Amino acid sequence: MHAGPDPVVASKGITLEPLDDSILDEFLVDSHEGLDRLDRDLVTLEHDPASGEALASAFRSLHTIKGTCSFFGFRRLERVAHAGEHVLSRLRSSQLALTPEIAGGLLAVVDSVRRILAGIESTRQEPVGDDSAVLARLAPWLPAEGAERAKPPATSRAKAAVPKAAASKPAVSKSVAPKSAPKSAPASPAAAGAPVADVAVVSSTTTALQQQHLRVDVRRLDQIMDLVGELVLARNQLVQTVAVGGATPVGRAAQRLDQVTTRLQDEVMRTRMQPVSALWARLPRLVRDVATACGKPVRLELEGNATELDRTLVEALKDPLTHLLRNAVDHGIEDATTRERAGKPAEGVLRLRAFEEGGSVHLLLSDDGGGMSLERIRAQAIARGLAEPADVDRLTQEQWLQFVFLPGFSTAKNVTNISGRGVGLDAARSAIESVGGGLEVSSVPGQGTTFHVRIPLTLAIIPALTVEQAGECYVIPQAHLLELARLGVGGAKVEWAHDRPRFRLRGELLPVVLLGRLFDPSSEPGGSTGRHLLVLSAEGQRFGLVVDQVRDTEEIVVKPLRSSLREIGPFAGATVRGDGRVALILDVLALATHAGLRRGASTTVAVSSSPTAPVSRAVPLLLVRSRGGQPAVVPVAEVERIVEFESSAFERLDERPAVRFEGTVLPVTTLAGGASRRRLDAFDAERAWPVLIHEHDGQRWGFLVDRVLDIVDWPGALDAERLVVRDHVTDYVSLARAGADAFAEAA
Amino acid sequence: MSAVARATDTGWCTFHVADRDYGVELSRVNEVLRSQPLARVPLAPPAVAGLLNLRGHIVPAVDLRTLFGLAPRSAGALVVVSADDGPVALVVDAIGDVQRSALLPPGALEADTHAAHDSLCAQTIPLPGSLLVVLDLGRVLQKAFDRPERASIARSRVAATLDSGE
Repeated sequence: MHAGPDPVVASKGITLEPLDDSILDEFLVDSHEGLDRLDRDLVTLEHDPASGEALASAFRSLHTIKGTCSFFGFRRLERVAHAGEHVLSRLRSSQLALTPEIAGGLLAVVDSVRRILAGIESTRQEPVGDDSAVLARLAPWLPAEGAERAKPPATSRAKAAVPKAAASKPAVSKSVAPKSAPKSAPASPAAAGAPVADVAVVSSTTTALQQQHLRVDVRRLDQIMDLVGELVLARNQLVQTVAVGGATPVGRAAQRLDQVTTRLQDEVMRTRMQPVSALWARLPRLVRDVATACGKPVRLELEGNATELDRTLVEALKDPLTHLLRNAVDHGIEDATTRERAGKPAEGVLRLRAFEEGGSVHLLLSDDGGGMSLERIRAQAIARGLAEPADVDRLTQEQWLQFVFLPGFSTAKNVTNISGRGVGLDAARSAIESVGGGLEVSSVPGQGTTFHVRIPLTLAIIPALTVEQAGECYVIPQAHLLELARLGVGGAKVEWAHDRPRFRLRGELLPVVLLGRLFDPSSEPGGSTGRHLLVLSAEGQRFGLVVDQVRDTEEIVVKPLRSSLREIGPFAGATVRGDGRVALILDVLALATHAGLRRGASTTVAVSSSPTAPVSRAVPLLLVRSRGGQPAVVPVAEVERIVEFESSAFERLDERPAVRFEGTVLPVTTLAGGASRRRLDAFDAERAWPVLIHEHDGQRWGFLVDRVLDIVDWPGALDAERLVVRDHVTDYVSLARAGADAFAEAA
Repeated sequence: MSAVARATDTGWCTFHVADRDYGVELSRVNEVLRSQPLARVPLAPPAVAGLLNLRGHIVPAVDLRTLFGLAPRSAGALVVVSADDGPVALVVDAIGDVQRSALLPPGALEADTHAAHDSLCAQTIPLPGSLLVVLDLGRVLQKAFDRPERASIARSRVAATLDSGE
């Protein structure tokens, strides 16, 4: 049916300018999609050689690539693809039966094609290379060279293969944005091509589907989303100033605008959604390769692949999911003999299930392996000083499992080139948390491990509650808000457990964050607090947030903050409010950390965003080098802040060094206390000096150190004056005690 | 920044802070605005005056008076400059003129032979009647944002401070 360029194509080719970049880009995008599909189909075939559907789909994918590249004159690509296609065609006509050797050969074809495409993408030319190795692998099933060249067993030349019947519901084909390729070398050797989009489409189902679909550059969608964000802001501004609805024409127009904007926003958001299957296309191949490398038979089951997600989130999930899968195959699933001894089928099963629930998308990745070894986690945690032997009885299983998320923590007996280096789980978790999601783990010995990934549907526009503190507005994502309480009404009040604020909520004692004190630590402790308490949830735990005023809820457009401002801690981003003013978005997870939550005290599977030990009772110590050059540690809890001051900032106050800090005079000493106080005068260098600021009974003291080195966890008791930290004898200094000694005479 | 083009014409947008003249390269200036309400950022470094809504974009504002260690005063104008990671508004007392290198007296660009400047200053140009200090924007912004003078509301914050510090 297809033999060389048909006349229509040829005549069009003559009128074409030197090959347009966008046509080539489109070919590349198409081909990459086709290769992903091919990977998936071949792995399906390996498990189920009788699947005619997978075979047909694989054939179509390879055929499309081959057909298109002959336009462009990519001879090398065409030859490799053609060899693969030929084998597939013989499989399809049952002249051959699929063996692991054939499957391996076909996958090698896919890899070669990918490599060549990558070369084309970067140089706009077909790269030079030798494919004889790949061709040799397929040679046993290929006819003699000459006969084969003359009659390619081609059928049609569809622009894109028919989407697999099993694929998700029709959606706009949201392709990966064409990689910005160098525009300098626009022409490829064969300018006699036709725009790919003009190629006749043969299959009737394909035609119907493709007429409903349009390929759109993602950057354009992003721009539309930005504009809709602006529109939402303008709408918010309008409805705040105009009496919406009512009798006036402006009011009615505003109402209509309000409705249309809401719908437009929803539609655009949906347009940017991608089924998670886009994420899954590569996974069967990945699992197969890892499983083969480990010598374990593993089957991957995918479920819920029509679940949709904002495309930026799909991108963000790619790497973490790869980590988790590699990890599951390499460590989760036991080798075949161990499995058989445990009475399990030799083939391990990995299940990946996606579903949408409560404004979030959930991914559950379960293996039916041996589960995580608590013994090994304990042994490693204790060996690394993250836990003490006494913790064995005290910590729950969930709490022990948290250790696997620590950087560098690995219980793998062998480091393989696949995993076991202790990187991965912590990276996966931080990647997922960086897009507002969470990663949790549960494990049953002997039965397997399940990772639970939770991610928001979209990040761009969210409903949020506006609150007011000290005259400034802040917004809190509605997803975290459980309830509101008015303080001072019906006995509702914040109570103090020593220095910690608490709130009684139906028999439960919630930790409380006072926003006023958080933002202005110098404000009077224990004094009057705000009037409203918000009950917020973070990772399944609840805490209270006290603010001055509660305003309204509105849809906000999340705008990123400069990273240096995000690093301050409590802010996740910013938004523009209806009145045009900027409001900061509070980071509820950071506030929860401030409330003392998520430090392992809870019984739920706490998800800690801090890369520090979440569970053990170890005391965090700040490791510094003192002015005398000695290493010293101070409890992190005693350090309110670390501030750097230039040498010139130090002045004298009553014969005592001091610096000006936040409108007050901060007396400064060294960690050694009074004895070496004079050393402060002799600065050996003009540089910034770190000062540890300690607050005690409303009085602040500064402690000058030479250098701040690190934070270490001290698992034992702190009753000695010297500790051995990292093989060095280290002074242990309590700032409260040292301050009292040094400043006693002044008081 | 020290490699100021001599053959071609360079322009500076100048402004006043505490009666002294400062300037930034014209190519880095996006626009000049009258003073606007800013949203305060609690716990931010002192020189961060707040956030500005610039037609829907969130732009942080840096108060040059605070950065120079001077007493604050009500802002006169905002100079929006483009930094590596997005625009930043500089809060200044008042806007001055545009100076062009082509119109300077001969030798003015070379007059500044003392290399050891204040770290915020890229170049000093003697103008008739005043000295124009061309700011090194990169250093100005680094000093404004990246000082470890941040409250540690969580341990991770302390850790972050350490990472950026030593």
